[in-house]
Amino acid sequence: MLVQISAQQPGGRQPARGPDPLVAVDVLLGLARPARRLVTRTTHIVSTVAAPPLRLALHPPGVPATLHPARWIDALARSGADRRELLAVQASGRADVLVPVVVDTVLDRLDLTAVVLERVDLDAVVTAVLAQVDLIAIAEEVIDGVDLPEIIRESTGSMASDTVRGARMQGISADEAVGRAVDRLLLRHGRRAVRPPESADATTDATHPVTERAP
Amino acid sequence: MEPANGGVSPLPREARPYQGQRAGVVTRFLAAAIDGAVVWLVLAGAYVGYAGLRFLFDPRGFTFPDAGLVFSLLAAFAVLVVYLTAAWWLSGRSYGCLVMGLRVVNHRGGRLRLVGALVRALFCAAFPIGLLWVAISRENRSVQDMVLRTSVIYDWQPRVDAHGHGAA
Repeated sequence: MLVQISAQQPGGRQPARGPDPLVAVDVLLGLARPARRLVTRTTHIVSTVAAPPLRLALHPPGVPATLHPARWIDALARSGADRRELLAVQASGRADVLVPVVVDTVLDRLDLTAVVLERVDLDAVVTAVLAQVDLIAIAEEVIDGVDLPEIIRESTGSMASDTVRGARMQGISADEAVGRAVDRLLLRHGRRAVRPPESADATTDATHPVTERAP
Repeated sequence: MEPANGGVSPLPREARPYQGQRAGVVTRFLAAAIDGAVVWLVLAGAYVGYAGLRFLFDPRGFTFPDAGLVFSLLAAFAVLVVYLTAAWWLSGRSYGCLVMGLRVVNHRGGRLRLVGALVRALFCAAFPIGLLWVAISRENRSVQDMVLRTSVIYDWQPRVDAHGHGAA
């Protein structure tokens, strides 16, 4: 069974093959479970039988507590734990150095792009990314960034609408100029409180609210 | 502030910071002048129409009608009050406000009701000089605004939302 029976070759000759390593692995795996059960039972029996004399040996009656062997074993355990933690830290430091090198070496031998394209469901990844992205907000930001309304105005606007827009902006500038002049005449400091306090939702697009000061 | 309808604003960038602020004396004066021209046109049209009718009925004895100063002033007052009341009640803006990008709002930032619009129109028609107080007021308010708790704000957006709030 350890030697594969090879297929009949044309001409009657059967090429020999070596033992199949998988069979050995299967045997070991098959043995593992009963072996584990045996070890567990044996350990249980030994610990049950040996526990009283072991306790007696570790804590001998009549001997001062400082001389009990249990204290030496505790001290050894604590020392071992400290040593184990130190080794873990050192191993982690070495892994920090080695792992990137190993990963780089592996990746140099792989075409990661081909692996991703072959093994990753890109549709699912893109769908998941898009589900978390607010496309409307991105579109609004792009439109605002390129100032699409202005482009539309420039391409479709008439002279009349340009004139009205110009007149409005000139009016606003004149309002501010007159306001500043009057405030200077009246020796007022600070800017005018021109935003109605109740207008939290009155109109749109005021991105620079004026700070109100007490008259 | 973000646009009331969310999303991208159609307004020119240079105008956005001013939206919602109380307008100054120059813009309001220009809007009032445009409204005055509208009222004058309506009166002139009515006068010409009346003269035309008189001519039709009696071409030989036709003379241009002489309305008299008092009647003319009363007619102008009536037309102005009706015009302003209707404009402020229906849309918050008269034609002058539309051209200059202004809107009349109440103390809550919403459109005036009919009674409020009528009272304000009467006050403005009877005491037009109160507009000049805007130049002196630290809050850019006219005498009428201070008494009636209204405001005239920059608002370039063309539409009004269902609640009568400006510029949605």
